[in-house]
Amino acid sequence: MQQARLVVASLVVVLAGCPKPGGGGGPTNPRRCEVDLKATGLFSYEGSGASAKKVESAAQLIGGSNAQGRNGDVLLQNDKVRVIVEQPGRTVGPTLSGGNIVDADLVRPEGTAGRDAFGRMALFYSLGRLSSVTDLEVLSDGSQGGPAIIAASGKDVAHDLLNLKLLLNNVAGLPLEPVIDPSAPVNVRLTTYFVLSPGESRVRMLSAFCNDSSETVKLPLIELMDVGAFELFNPGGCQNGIGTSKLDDTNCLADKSKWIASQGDGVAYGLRTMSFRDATKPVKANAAIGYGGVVGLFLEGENLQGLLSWFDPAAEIRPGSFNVLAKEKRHYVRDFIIAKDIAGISDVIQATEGTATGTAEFTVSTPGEARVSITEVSSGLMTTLVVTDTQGKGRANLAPGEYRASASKEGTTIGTAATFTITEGQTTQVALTQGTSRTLTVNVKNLANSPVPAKVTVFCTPAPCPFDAQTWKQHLLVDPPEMGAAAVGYVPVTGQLTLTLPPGEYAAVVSRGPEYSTWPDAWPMRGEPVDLRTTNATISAVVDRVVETPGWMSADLHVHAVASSDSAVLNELRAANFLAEGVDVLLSTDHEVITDFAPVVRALNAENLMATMIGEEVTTFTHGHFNTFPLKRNPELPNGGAFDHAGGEDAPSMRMPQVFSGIKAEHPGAVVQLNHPRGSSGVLSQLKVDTATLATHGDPAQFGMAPAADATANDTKLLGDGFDAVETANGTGPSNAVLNDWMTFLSRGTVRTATGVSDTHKPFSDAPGYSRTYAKVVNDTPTTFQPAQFAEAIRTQQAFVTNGPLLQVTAKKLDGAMMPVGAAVGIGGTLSVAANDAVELTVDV
Amino acid sequence: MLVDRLEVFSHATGRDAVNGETNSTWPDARALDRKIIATPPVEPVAGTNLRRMHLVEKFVLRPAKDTWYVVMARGTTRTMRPLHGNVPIAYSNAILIDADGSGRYDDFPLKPGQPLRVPNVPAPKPKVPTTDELGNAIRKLIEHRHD
Repeated sequence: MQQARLVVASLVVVLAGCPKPGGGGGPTNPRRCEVDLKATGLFSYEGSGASAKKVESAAQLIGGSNAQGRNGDVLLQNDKVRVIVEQPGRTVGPTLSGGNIVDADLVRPEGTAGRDAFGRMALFYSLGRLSSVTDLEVLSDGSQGGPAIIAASGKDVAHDLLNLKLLLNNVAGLPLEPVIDPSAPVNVRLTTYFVLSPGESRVRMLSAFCNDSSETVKLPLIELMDVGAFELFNPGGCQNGIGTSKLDDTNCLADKSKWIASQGDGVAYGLRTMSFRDATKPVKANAAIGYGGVVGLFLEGENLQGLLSWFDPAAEIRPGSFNVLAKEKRHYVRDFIIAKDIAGISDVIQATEGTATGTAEFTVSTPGEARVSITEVSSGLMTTLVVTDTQGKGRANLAPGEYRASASKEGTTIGTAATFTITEGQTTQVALTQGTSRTLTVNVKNLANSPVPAKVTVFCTPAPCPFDAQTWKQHLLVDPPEMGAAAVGYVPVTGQLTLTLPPGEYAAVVSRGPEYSTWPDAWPMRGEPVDLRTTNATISAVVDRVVETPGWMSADLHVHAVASSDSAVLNELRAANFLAEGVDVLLSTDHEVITDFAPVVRALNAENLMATMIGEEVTTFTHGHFNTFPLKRNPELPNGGAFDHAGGEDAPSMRMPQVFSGIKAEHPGAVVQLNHPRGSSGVLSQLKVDTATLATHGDPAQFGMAPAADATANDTKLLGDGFDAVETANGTGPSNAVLNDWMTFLSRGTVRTATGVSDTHKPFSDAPGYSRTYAKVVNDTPTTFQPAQFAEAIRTQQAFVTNGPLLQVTAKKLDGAMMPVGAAVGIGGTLSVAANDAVELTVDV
Repeated sequence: MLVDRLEVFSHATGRDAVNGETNSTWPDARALDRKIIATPPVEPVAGTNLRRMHLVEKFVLRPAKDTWYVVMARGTTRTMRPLHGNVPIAYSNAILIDADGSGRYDDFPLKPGQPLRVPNVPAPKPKVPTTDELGNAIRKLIEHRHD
């Protein structure tokens, strides 16, 4: 199947021939919804220097922590910014189709590494449909001046994963019926034009819908952005800070938004959408729903009430209506903006809207990059965010008025706020003091006096800390460490790490996972006192092995990092994290992406300490998630060759027996694990499984599946028994419900392996590495690690689950004198005895 | 780390679940055998000044039929800080018991083909949700909670 997809990908043609300098006048393509872009007056045709070209070598790619570009994509570039639009083709995952922006960055000096931190974005309509892009055409390559223009045209298809009706029905358990049927084909041609004009920091996108039918089509539109970086800012949102809105009982759930931006490392991204009625004017209010790093903008949907109207046939007004009359066309416009910081995004928005502004120039007294948060005095709402340069300098254009600004950065208190007034056309100098901080340098060695990696956890004394994530919510997004700790740091192989903390009194404790001692010896009665009230401090810790585990290797069998749309943890940090926690094998299981951690482990000089294994979390949106490993990554395929559980564009979604056998056909020897099988993303719950029989009562149509040929009235045959493992502990402890399921499987003869995982998505707050699974292997050294051997141990139940204790169990037959006879059998083995013979279990913890 | 409870589990009734419903019942009485460790032993680590908890215990069982055993070790008093904030727990995968001379675990306590107890439940009829219902559904959707 993988080979077949490779062939399909190679047949996709990027039509770079006959590009026209003016744009919109390329050779007629019947699949394109034609728009005379110049005539719209929405684009600047002045100047030169913009370009559009097909990527033919790795040197043309942008690079960066979230870079996904490949040869065959198209690079749009001018003197300020550059973006990569993915080539046509199916990319299993939330955005599903190529023809969308996947990488973006500022233009940086020659020889400087790219810093793409963007995920991807796509436009959906009808609550569950999209244009599957078939043609990506360079209409103007910019060589004659004016904008560079590319057009992505496709065909209307159902979104196999994002169908709001099915998601709300099946996953959320809300039986509703939208007024628009997402499964109904829509006879429109959709073309998105990506236009980059010379000298602009935005890619203006115009999506044109040609209604070829004889009826009006109603197309509520949703922009979905995997913003990559989690530091999301919504200037109109009720969260009023950095990060996505809270999922609490406030009205933040579907937050009003005129534009959104996210702050990455040295680069920021913004999306500003324009009114449906008048593309020269910005939208009044989208309804923004965010989770982790993914944001859905229900365009012109206003709020939750607006969204609700699409599920109420009696609603008289439906915010977000985008209707295209029969045989007519209509377009929707938005700007994708790239800048150094969020202030740069708001600069562009204000400039394009003609907002009168003055300039604030900030100087933070302490040199070094700082975050300057600006709030409007009258409303108290955060307006924008400046990231200063290494000299402590930064700037923002602001509408006239009175503002308050303060500076901070990670581990540093909020500096004294300064109030200032902005006058139109004037520049105001604002001097700020950075907050205060101290450093804690941690040196870690083993008993042989060699540096070793470790985790340092710093607690406030007395607890709780006088600060938390809310303290910095207008400056930076903090992932609060577990256990109420002030900070957690991952000490690399050099054995040295410096943490920055607010002044105060602390207690530090150093650990390296369950096989190692914890420092200081006084722990858990007390940690090592650290007084950072007035000065910096250094501590020297010793940790060493207290338990040998020959023949066993540990792995957390569910790990997310930046390639997952709902995780922002850089691969380097994740590797450092697992190294510090003493995990033997770092497995990648990103959602719908096959990631290889090996390069970053090598870059950390840690390959002698930690092996890597490649996997994926196959992520259906309605009927469960499934990890599979070991896999091989194919860099030539989208998402490294992630498995298409939705059965391809024109086929129904696969039933689980098809998924399990399909994975194993693509990756012989792969283990398939039922992830968190209970709950709204659990297969046993969603497919309505009877665990004693494995019969399912779920309706295949509800999951976009075709009925099984052998289905009966009492068993829709959606699950099967082709899985190898069951995730019984997802987090630091097991689920009694899933233990019951797994033990029921054992009792019916479906002997499968219990596994323990963390399912970590965050760097500190969700106990990465706990629970974990130990597997019995022949060779337990990282440098000679054999993924197939590890997988075979998992498949044959030679494994135990732990959040710390190291467990050995053997079984022996006893004779009449209660003396052992025969060989002992270990975990996963079978002991043969006569009925009612004595069996001795020896437990060693 | 302190482990003060060892338990052996085997087949028992009451664990199965039907129609996708969650069965979280976990009565103490369902364990086949249990040992409570009043004072978990701590020992020095050879050649070092370090210490560790180390516990070795034995269970004697008499299986009448083919069955399986799972061992769980856990602590009830002290968390695993600074590794994480939960109490310690570890459990084995199954050791299978062949008690009928076949050489395999193949006489399963739960027999295949038993009659299904729950008929298909028809899907509820669609309705227009309230704002709260829609909000709660969206929260549930994007939080994708799981057990």
